[in-house]
Amino acid sequence: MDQDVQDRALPIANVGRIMKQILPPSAKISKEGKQLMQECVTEFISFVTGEASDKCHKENRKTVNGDDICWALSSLGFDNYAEAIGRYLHIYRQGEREKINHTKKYENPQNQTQINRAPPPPLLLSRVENPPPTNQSG
Amino acid sequence: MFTKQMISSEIPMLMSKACEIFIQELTFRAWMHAEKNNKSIVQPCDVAKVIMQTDTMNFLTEIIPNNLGDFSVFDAKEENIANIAEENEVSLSFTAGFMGNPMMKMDSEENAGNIVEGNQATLPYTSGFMGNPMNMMNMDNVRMK
Repeated sequence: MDQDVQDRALPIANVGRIMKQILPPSAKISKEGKQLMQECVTEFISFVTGEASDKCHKENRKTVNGDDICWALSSLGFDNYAEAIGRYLHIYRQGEREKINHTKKYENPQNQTQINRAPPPPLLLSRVENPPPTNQSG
Repeated sequence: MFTKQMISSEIPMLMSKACEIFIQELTFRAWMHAEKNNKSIVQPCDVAKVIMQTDTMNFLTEIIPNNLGDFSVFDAKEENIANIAEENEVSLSFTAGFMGNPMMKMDSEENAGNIVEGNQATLPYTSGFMGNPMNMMNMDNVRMK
């Protein structure tokens, strides 16, 4: 694969690993299947961020934030994704606030280390629970 | 034309989670297609069929190779000519098995008809899917949303 093209796509090993997580152990994925998924997810990123960027441009804002991404996912038909990402964003922001408070409290440089405080919501559970729709349009 | 835009520090984290969900949903549906045809390898044609049949995935129709409706090999770069030859052999073996099985042929023709006609109706999933009716119900709920 061309190096220039490869740099614009997600790493194929990571894509393959995520694909394997959802499949039973007996399933296999062809190399071409991974390559096509790689292109699909790259297109997905451009599709969603393009929509979010357009919204920011119309509102004369320069910074695309998480709420714009949730809005873009919802407007493009990925309502389930918008719900899951909205909850994920909420947990992430809580973690950020806790980290800031913790840093202010102790003023210890070692606490500046980036810690992942947002446990990812399980994929299947988010489908089963059917939570009430959270309005993320900002 | 656009002025410079910046992204919040949240965006890479959010997009990575969204991509993870996207990859797993697309892979899961492709796996169901592969299993429906009694195959244990997820192929590009399985992914392509899912993209054709899902409304929200319409933006991906442009990047699906044209010859993928058949059991063709994914277009590769010239550098992979040797791999193309090997994949053709693999494809031929699939074709042999396909021709030897009338049921598979009927299914394939039915699917091809749906794809050609642009039929948006989702094909019925296998009743014995994953051996768990709950998964079946959950998937129906997800699709109904």
